[in-house]
Amino acid sequence: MNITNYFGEYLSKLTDKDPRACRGMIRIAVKEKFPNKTPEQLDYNELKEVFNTTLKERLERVYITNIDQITEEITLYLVKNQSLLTMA
Amino acid sequence: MYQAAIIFIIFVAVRLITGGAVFINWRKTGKKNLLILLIYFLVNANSLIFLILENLWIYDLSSITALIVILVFIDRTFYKDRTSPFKLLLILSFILGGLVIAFNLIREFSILQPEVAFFIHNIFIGGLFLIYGSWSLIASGKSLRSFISSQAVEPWVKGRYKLVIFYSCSIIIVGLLTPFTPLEGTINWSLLILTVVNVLRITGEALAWIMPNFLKKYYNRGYISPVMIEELSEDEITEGMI
Repeated sequence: MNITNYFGEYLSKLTDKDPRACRGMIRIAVKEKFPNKTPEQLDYNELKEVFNTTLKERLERVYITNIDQITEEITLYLVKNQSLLTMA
Repeated sequence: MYQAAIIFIIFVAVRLITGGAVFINWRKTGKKNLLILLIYFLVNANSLIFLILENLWIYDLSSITALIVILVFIDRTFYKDRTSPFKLLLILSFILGGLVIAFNLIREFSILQPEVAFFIHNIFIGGLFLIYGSWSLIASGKSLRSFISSQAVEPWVKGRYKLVIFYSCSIIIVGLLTPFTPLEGTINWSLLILTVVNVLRITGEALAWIMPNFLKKYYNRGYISPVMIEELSEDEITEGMI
């Protein structure tokens, strides 16, 4: 199971944008931060780092508002669902 | 005793196979908590070997170590950056582990009647199982509840959580029945139930962590992923976000 899809769905809820685009957004943010890793190889700290760096920058580039709040909420969602990174 | 040894040998084999599957997963993903899980299965297999050899000392030490290792695994898997009872449970486990060893000594040196010392020793061992089973049940149950209705999580993943819940319940039953285990060489009702529950627990743990393809397919039958197969290009993603 590609874990970034799960968080892409949530990003779509937070931003009210197309789920496919949000999933893609997370996928490329991961690729940019960790080019040699697959989503399955990401651990909790790495995904958190993606949310707070490359994803945040990319959201800024597409003029999304409330970026800090979105980043905070998706990070909290990761904290809540962190076990999926091991179990999925 | 011969039949019991055969059962334990099967348990050890299943433990090692499960450990092998976790090892492959760890090599593939490089996730450190899977390495902790692997250590748990290996130490647990080791403890069972010493149970077969009737060396209660090393069995106790290995069991205590395995239970402490699995607490570390639960903490690292479910509780990063959130309030965790880990330190409290760890201290409690060390205290119970110390008491297990103390009552083993008391039994060994016949300070108390062997039956009494063994009963108290088993109460503390049971307590360790209760800590592990309860915490594992709470952690996995809470997590599953947070995404059970999500279509983005494949059914086999939810199935894995359900298996964790199942074997956690088995571990709680093991903890509750352990005090009633009879002294070596005798059989009673609790030992028979414990054997059945341990079979269920070890099978549950094996299925959860090996997750064989047939079971994955069974869980995923009829599942249609909401995720489109084709990936959007970077321009399409940007367009979709504006």
